[in-house]
Amino acid sequence: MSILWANLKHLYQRRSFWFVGLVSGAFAFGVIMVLIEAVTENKQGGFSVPILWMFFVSAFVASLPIGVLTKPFSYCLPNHRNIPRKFLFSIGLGLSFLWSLSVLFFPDLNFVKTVLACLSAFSTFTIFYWLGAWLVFRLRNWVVVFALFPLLIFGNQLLNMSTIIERAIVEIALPMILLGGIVNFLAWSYWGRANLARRYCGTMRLEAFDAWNREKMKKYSLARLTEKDKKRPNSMRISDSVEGFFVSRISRAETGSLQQYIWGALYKSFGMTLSQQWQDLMRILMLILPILCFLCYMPGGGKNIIFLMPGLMVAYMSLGVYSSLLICGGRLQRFWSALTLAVTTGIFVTVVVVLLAMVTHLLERIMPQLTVKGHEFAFKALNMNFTSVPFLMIPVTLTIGLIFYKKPMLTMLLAMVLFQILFTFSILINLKNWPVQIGPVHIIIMLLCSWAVFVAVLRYISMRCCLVNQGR
Amino acid sequence: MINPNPIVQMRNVSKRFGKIQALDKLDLDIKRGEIIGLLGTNGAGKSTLLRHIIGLYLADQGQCITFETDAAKLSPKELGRIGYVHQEGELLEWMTTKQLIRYVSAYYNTWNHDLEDKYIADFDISLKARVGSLSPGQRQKLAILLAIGFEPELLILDEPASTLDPIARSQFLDLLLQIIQDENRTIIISSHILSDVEKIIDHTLIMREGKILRDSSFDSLREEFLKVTLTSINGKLSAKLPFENIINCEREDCQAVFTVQNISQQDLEAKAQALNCKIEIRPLSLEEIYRIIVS
Repeated sequence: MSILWANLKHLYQRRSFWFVGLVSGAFAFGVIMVLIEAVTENKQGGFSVPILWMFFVSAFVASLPIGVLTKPFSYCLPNHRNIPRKFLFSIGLGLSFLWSLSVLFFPDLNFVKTVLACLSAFSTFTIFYWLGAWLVFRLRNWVVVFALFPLLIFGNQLLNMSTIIERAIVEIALPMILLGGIVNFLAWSYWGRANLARRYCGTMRLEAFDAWNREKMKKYSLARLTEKDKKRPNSMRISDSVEGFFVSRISRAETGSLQQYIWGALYKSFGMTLSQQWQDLMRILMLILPILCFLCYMPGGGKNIIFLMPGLMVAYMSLGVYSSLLICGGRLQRFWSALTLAVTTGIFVTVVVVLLAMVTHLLERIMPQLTVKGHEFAFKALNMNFTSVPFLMIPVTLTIGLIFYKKPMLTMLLAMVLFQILFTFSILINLKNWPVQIGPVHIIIMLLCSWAVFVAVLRYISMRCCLVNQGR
Repeated sequence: MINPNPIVQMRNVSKRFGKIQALDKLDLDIKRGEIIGLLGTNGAGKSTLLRHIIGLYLADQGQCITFETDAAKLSPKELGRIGYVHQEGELLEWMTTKQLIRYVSAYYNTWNHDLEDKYIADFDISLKARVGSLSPGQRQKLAILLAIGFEPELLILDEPASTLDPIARSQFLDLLLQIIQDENRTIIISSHILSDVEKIIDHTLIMREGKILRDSSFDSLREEFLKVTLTSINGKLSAKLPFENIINCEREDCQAVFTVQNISQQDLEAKAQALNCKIEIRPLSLEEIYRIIVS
């Protein structure tokens, strides 16, 4: 078996890639439907849609050789240095070729123009493939690539990029072929560099689905913290005043008392947040505000995502129940400190969401109405009735996280299912003819139920289960 | 005065993880003041046993009593008497070393600040470094400090020296030797570096596949197994040597080197004299004993 073949096998040997295959397949089906529509109904822009697919797939494909390159054992593997290039080229060129065949159905082209358009499409698809692969190789957390997707789709809607690219493929085929040739040459040189293996060997990079690998995520965030330490010493540390506040309370509380553990849990969880300097908080605010404005301009219920995201984000939150760090706290102390932490987080997140909702109500008065390509977009404030959603969702996702602690992938999948249900629900209840009206009593009952279930599960796990994983 | 009551009692304790029987009907008494070496191959159940003692794991069957309390119900009062260095080295990564020491010490009113200062100086611990950025050896030194800083009655060390360099290991052994001067202190040390362990232990627990193969004092083990070098003074050794319980034997014409079990030194010397042979007898090292028992 050749080395390249052994590497290509990773595409099906890694079980997480079965999921990628499923999603890519569904995505490819969508692209084919658009192509059929372009052929049968002569719709413009359809023939350039495979570039999105190529960009999407390249991100996953490129993450595989990175996964191998970063492992120190691969550095010394004989004849392995050229494999990432061969791997990426064999997949990229193969897929680009297959998609470029779709241009054979482009209407009203003679034979020569069809051949040129096919070659041009092939070149264009490889350009986007290499763009995705290059980004993955450049970024430490390559999942960021997927954040570009909404921008690509939004940009396409705004600037009609698909039609422009399609016309470029067909009408200026030769320059596109030349451009593709240059990009492929650059890609060949980039992935054939002598220092490629040395550059990636032993570096901390996230691979496909590492977001579900608790240990690796921990190492990754630590590596990021250490880097930030080097750039801005002492910026990402607990301040003396915060430390003094909490440690003095732990010390002053009676030894072994619940207060000790509750203060300790709060310190462990919020010490770093409370120590942030105002510049850091401003930076976070500057990041949130544009997203908030974007969502509030979006028609429909898309903005409700603000109420649901906190619930999703706490799915991996450590409540300190499963910990082998032994301070003199028994199971009961673990239970109470975890409960305190969950409640405090719930309140903190809800307050933040309420504040954001209030900000959008203030902004609603001053934000102008936007007109884009004839479509009008008005700024709509967040619905204050939904501000209790984080406090409702947090105990549910924390419960899922507690039960499936050893299966983080399942935790996230279930949390996403919950997210999807609540998101659909949030849209449905806004419909005028929706039969069930949710009142304060319903909300209180749901809140009580979600927290009661969480407390029961937390109590059971804290008092009656093994508190560290086997082999950890 | 040494209290004879066991501080840890395990009765018929079993624990299963899926298809793996991690502990299999285990009975164990750990008496106050014992320095126990817990030995066994990877996956023998050593860490599982230790985690049962402090209540992190709950037995599927049987009972584990620590400080006269069901291990599942250990309160801060009992846990405040136990120091634990765990092999996975979980610490609060984002704190600095100094912050972590202050955080942990805040929980204990028995924290010995003099010991802390001495340890930090001896082991060259950087107080300003972030815990997450420490090398494995430095992390282990910090974990050891956090476990001994409050002078626990029961110190549980799960692979404490695996990541330490030879100098740090030697310092760590010195530290343990100081700690064991206190006769009330009990130490359970699980380690694969047997040459280190044998310098401090007085009791041995050898495990395999969730069972305790041997639970005896180190002295009795050393008396039980002896390495014998028998040299014929004139001529070849006879084909059949008149010793019982020979475990392994390597022989040449005039010399035989063998290990015997449960034969007294006097018996060996008497038989050697009868054979007109010179005899050298030495006790086995812990590693040699361990190999014999486990194999």
